[in-house]
Amino acid sequence: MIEVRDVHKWFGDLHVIKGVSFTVEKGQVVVIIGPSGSGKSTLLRCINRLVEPDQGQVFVDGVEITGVRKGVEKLRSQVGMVFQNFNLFTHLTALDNVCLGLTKVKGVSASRARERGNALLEKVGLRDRAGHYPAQLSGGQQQRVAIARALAMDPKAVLFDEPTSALDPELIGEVLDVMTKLALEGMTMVVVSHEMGFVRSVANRVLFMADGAVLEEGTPEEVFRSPKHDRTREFTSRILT
Amino acid sequence: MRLPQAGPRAQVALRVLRTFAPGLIVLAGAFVAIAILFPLSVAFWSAGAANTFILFLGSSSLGLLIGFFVGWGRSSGIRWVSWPLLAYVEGFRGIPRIVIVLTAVVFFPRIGLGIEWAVLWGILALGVSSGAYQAEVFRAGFQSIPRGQIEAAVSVGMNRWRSMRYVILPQVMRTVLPPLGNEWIVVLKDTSLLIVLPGFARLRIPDVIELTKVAQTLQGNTFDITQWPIIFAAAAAVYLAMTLLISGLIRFAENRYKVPGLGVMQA
Repeated sequence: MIEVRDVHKWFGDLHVIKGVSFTVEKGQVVVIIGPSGSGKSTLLRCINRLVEPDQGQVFVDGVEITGVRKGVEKLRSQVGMVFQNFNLFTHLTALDNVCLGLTKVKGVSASRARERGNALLEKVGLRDRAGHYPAQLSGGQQQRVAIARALAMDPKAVLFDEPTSALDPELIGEVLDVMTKLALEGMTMVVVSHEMGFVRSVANRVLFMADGAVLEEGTPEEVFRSPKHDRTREFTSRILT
Repeated sequence: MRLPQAGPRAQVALRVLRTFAPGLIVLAGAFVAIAILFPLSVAFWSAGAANTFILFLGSSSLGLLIGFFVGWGRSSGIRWVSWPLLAYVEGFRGIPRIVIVLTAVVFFPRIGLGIEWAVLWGILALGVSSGAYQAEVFRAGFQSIPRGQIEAAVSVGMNRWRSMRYVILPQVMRTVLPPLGNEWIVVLKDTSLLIVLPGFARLRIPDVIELTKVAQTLQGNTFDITQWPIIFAAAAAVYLAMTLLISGLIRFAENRYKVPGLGVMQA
């Protein structure tokens, strides 16, 4: 579903992504872990070209999205994105946040969009908050709306950029529950997260990134139980305790 | 005032009435007073008020247009766009409006815009000046939008134009409206600087004389010095009425862009 081939990214002189390659099969959940500053978020953003890779290729569902000049928007909408800071449109209600892409990008009629929006809010357990504005919702609720918004475009895959890092501990569970449900339904997901419970129970594969490169890749068992690299061992021991 | 079962239509009408009521009341009061005190020059006063309004509308809209794009360009972070715009903003903010107006008066006839274009001189002078201030207002507005909003917009497949139209602009409006109201009120009052436009004086057509010139002309035409302060007070009342109408308009628009739950203070 997603193939990343030898992607490089420089910010000025800083080589932040140093030739990363990996593939995500349809229905797989891949979790990227690694110390802060290792390039996880940047790598994730390369997948939907929020960050433009300087070198290398990214394929989504067999179609190369790097190098495309016209119609990036359309390709981009095939991959949903959930952000650390939710980034809900502050001036719109929860329902309108979910519907905006449908009505303004896909050209779905307002009534059909509302129907779909309500169904998605139902799915993330927020049907009764449809009329609330982001500022009137808790962090966990905002993130669930953001997930519903990403799903509204019928994406082929969803990227999660540290979706629970900005949340109070007691709100993390509700977001992870929604993500787990989504994974079980067969959604292809790439997740940057350090929520070990989630990684262990849901991830098919874990990538460990350090200094812009993938150091280690494997099932959660392999990466956490018997890491090959010292860096991995050091890192996992720190987040597991 | 609350009607027991006002429909949505009636509710909107009521809100419009309530927003503009202060301005309309003062305006009506001013003109009733003018009709009583200066029965012979009511038409002159009305023409002056109408012209002031037209000059205001022209120059504030021009300033809005310039301000929007310059503010946008200034917040773009592209250096070769940003620097010339900065020069424009700093340049025009640094010149007294009266000097800009006087320059326009001596400059435009030189490039073929004769005295019959005097109204345009005025609108250009005030509009270009006001644009510099409104640009800063919009820059503040654009800069207040977190990057994440644009990232979220493009992530649901929006292009630049759509994310501007449906995501950025509605949020920018919310922050820029109060300071824009400030600037518009200043522009309205500064149309009085256009008293120096020679066209107004020399053409002797009441249609192109703005309000302050009306007052000054009437004052010059009477030897009854007890009338003088009253004449200018009448002009002041008309200006006040118009600023109240602008405030009303701003409040009305603010209401439209209000976001429940956002912000510490709920106005």
